[in-house]
Amino acid sequence: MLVADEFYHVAQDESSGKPLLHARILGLGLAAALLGELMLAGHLGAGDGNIVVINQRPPEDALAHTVLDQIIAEPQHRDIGIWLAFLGKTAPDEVGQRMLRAGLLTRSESRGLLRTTVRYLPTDRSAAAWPETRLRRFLTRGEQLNVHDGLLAGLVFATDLTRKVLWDGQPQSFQYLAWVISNLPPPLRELVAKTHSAAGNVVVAHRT
Amino acid sequence: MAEQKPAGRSFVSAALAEDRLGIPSVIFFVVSAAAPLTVVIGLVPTGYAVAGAKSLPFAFLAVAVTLALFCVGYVAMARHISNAGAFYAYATRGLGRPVGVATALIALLTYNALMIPLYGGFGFFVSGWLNGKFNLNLNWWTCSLAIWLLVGILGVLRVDLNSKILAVLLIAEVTVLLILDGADIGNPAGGSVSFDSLAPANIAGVGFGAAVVIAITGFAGFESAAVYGEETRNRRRTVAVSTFVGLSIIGLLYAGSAWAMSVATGSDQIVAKSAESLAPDAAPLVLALAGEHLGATFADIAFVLFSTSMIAASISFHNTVARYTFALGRERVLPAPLGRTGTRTGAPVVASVSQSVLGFLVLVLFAVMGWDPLVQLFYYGGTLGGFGLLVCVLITSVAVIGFFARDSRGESVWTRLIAPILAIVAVGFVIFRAVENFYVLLNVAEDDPLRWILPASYLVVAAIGLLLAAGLKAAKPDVYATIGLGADSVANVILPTGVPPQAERAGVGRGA
Repeated sequence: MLVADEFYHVAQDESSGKPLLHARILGLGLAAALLGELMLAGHLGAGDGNIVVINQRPPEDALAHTVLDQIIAEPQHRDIGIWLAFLGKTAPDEVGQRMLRAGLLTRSESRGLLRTTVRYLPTDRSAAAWPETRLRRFLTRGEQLNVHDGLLAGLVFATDLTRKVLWDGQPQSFQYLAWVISNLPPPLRELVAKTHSAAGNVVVAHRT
Repeated sequence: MAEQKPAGRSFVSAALAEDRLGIPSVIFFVVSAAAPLTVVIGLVPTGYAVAGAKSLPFAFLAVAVTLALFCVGYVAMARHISNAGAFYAYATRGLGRPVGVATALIALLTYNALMIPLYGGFGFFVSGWLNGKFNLNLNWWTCSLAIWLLVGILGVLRVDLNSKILAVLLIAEVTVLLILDGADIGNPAGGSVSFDSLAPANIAGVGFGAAVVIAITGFAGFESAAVYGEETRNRRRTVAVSTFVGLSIIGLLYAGSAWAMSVATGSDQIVAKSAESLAPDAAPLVLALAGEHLGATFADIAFVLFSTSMIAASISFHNTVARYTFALGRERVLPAPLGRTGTRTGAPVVASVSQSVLGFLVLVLFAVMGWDPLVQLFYYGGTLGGFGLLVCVLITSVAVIGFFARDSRGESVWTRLIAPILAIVAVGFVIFRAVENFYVLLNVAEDDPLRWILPASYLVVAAIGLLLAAGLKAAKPDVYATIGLGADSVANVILPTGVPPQAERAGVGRGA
């Protein structure tokens, strides 16, 4: 599964489909995941707080393609924070749609008194729980994480989902997570740091 | 964040501008944080009564001018730093981390001292009014607990008063206030209007030191525009314009209202009448005057808005304390759990609950000890907070000079040097007079230890802060290194360096 899809699952309650994060913070996490996907695929790099376009060839995934096009089209905006904020506005919808098309989510409408709520439920609950289970397993056992999982772990940290994933609360698991993040390749580490700070700033500025 | 906007053609800029705040919204936030009706109906008469502060109208003007001088450097520096809503960020960037941590603790004491007393004030006034109107027998702490619970729940649910409700309430508050003032001025006692209490000569009087502390307590919240800096459409202009416009509105409203009150009672009677109005079964002075001149219904409407003003102020200051605590937890200056977000509401839950617990303990203490919720909690506590605000303003002014001394960053000499120096002189003078006359403020004997204990509490807290900073430097240098620089600073990526598990340790160096 793509990083953003896995993050979406981690950030979601498996039975009700409800997000476990505030909308803006979820948006930031998913935006970071989308940028991260492009970084993992070699299209983007980062340094000094800015993203850098390394490879302009169209990515396979349609959403990644759209994001890359947007970045290429606005060369005056390179600050990571700006892209997190901009992509974050629509990321929950866009990623949700992508997962719908891929059959990972299914739409469910529930009619309330005043309005109809639309929820996106995972189609396969154990597949939806897998990213989190996998992370938990590696982190609690101190096993080596590949860079995809390292990024996912970083996003979990940045959006404060750590205690959901590491619910048994063993201190050495938290410490290992911290070590994993600090040993990510620099562009991904910057992405994670920027996301963490953006999430904090959103709370401080009362925009949650 | 350098954004060169090819005006209108950037899709990204346009999209981000959509949900950014404009100047009017931020002005509303600033003025409502200052809570006009709470100050005019609650604080001012209490100040007149307890401290005999007849120069209060002038004091409001003097404080407004002082704060305006301060804000020149303040809003300029706010453009260049992150976490610009917190005084300790300025202190750290301008004067170093030890002073920064000390300022953080000073600010925490200040904002708690501004916040918790509001529970006491609300309890006193609302229970008094309800008892009078409906012949009940409520204790003050019953009402205090009610508002405490409300604020606590709203804090955790992150239900902030949204800007539309806030705007409506604020407009109603200000309108009512202007009507009250008009009625007061239009019905001068003895038929003549005296401008004595507005005269600059008041600066020499004994009561001036007390009056300024009361005055600045009323201004608390003026600094809040900087909190929204990064969420505004035009970061450069919005914070500056909102702050100065807000300051002007607040200053004129308060000076005008405090003066109008004394016109209606007669300037020789204002202290006595205020003292009378503080009895639990008496109507607050302003509302008694309103009842006389405008009728009982108007007085009731004014009281309801007074109550909502206190609720809004409580929510606002509760959020300020939570925000400070949260930011300090994030930087791990305070225990890290305080910096947690991860909830559906996006509320800084741990920080919010901690503040609520502290508030509860204070209320219990006052209720059990039988201490006075109005004079000792609301007034003493509130003015303690006001004094702390003066200290924060002083430290920040010095920090502004320090910050721009290394690199002027394109700001003018007036902004980075002259105005801050004038502010330091003005605030320094005010603090000196305040400490000199603290016993007048508290209405205690000149040799009563309380007159030293209260202001000195800030020295104690600052000392603890310096010790804390030294401790952090020794025990957790990675945390120490990132204090106050804000999480934005990429060169100081605040990620815990962590520890690899035993199996991994061999041959792998520490990251970050």
